[in-house]
Amino acid sequence: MKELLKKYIEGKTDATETETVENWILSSDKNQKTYNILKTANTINSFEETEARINVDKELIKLKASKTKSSKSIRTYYKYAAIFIVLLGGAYIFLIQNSFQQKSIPENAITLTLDDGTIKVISENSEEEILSSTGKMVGVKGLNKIVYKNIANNIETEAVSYNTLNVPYGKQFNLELADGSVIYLNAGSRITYPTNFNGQKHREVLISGEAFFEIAKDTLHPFVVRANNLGVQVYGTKFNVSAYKEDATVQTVLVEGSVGLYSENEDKKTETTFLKPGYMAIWEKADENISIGKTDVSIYTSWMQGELVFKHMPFRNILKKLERHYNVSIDMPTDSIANLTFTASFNEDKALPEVLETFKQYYGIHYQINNNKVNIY
Amino acid sequence: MASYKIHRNIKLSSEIDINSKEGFDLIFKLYYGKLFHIAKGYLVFNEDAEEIVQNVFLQLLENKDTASKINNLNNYLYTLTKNACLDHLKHLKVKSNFSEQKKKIQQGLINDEAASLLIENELSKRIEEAIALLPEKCKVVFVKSKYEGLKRKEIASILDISPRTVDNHLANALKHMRLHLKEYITYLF
Repeated sequence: MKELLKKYIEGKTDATETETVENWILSSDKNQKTYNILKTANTINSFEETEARINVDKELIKLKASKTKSSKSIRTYYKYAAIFIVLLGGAYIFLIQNSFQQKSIPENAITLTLDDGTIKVISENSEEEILSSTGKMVGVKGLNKIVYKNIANNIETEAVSYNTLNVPYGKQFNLELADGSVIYLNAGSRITYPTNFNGQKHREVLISGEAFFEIAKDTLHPFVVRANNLGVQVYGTKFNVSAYKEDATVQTVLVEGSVGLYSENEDKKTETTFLKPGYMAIWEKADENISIGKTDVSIYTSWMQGELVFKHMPFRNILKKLERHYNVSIDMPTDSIANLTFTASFNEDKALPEVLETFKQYYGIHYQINNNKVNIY
Repeated sequence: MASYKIHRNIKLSSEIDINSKEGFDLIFKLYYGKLFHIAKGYLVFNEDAEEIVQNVFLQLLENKDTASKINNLNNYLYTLTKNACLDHLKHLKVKSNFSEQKKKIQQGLINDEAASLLIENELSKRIEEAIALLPEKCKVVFVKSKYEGLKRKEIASILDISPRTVDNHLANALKHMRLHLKEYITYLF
């Protein structure tokens, strides 16, 4: 029995054996005790195995992400190998266009554009089904999150369709794609993606704004993030891609593994630049040149934890970030102030006046808040 | 058994642990894998164990007031995990792939006090070993803050360093641990 018990604890018994062992354990207190001792010994002896297999940094990020979004925990098990961030410009333009075209849609609503062009307002805490143009259910919208289903096999009939998710200023939202990849979207962001990846060579998404990606590993189908004219291809690893609309550059930071960057421009398409972990690639939007240097990766994931981190950042870029984060409009100060560079970091839950007060105290910047308008001088 | 004595006095200093990012992160990194492993042993399925341990740390983060009164961090985290697992088993749906029999057996395991004590002691031992690997200055600061419950200002005056240096030592401890954590890449999917 002891041999069988061991096998059971290691999870290697078949159905009949399992039944036999379980009946045996439950037949007396003494037997249960024997199981308890063996199981406990097994647990103690296998601590290292588990510790070697998990990635604590990743778990910590998840914890902080779930803390920022809601006090309830979110499902935290995904099969993925790649994590990266894209911070991109262009979001506002899309948002502004949208608000002109769709007068009936409130400005501060999260919206989902279906493949037939219908725009739906996404309420943050109700559950509903997402349908394809043919009326098939392709996903479910839950609390702060949309999850797309992986519709397997009999897909020949279902053509690839694209949805677009828009997240306005002052809000965040999550998305789980059909391949299991998870995307956290920061304020003022927009992403276009296929509702399923069936029969496609590449898994491609189009992004503007800022997002944190956890990409499911699938070496046969590379994941490609397209931003402006830059393509970022994932080779199943961890990295950050960051770019600001107000910046003349798109920045990609590699945490671990390998990532390839290339221009979508026909003339330059052949050149792919690879990154080493801990390095950042800066892509100039104007001439599409790429330069590489060492960097601190944690700065680019801080927003996931609700933090605001600025390192040697021009004040004009800082103000742009504050606008998105707090959903306010800030009047740009004169160039002499806007061009100053500052370093500062703020914990989550800091109100805007506290942040501005800090700039006042340490850097002598004055401010005035009227409703949702801020004056800096 | 000097190290054992330290353990009986584990205290969570609210000032450092909850309000300093370094303090909390260090506790997370020290405990996460171990608590996850224990929960996995109780629940068999990784997904549930992961959710439960994440919740345990969320509770630690959210209960700042209670957390400052905790005398034994080790015991506190282990008990939270154990109770969450029991609770989880209790509310399992009949349809889940966890048979009624398996459920009874696992409840019997968790409620076995001798077995619990063994696990808890093993947990203490492992945490102590991990702390022993920290660089000397970091170790002193960490033990004083986490295990003797001193405030950063108190530590600063005892060691004759500035409160900021205390924070730096904690941050260093964290960096040091980061180096020792094995990177994990899935090849399986």
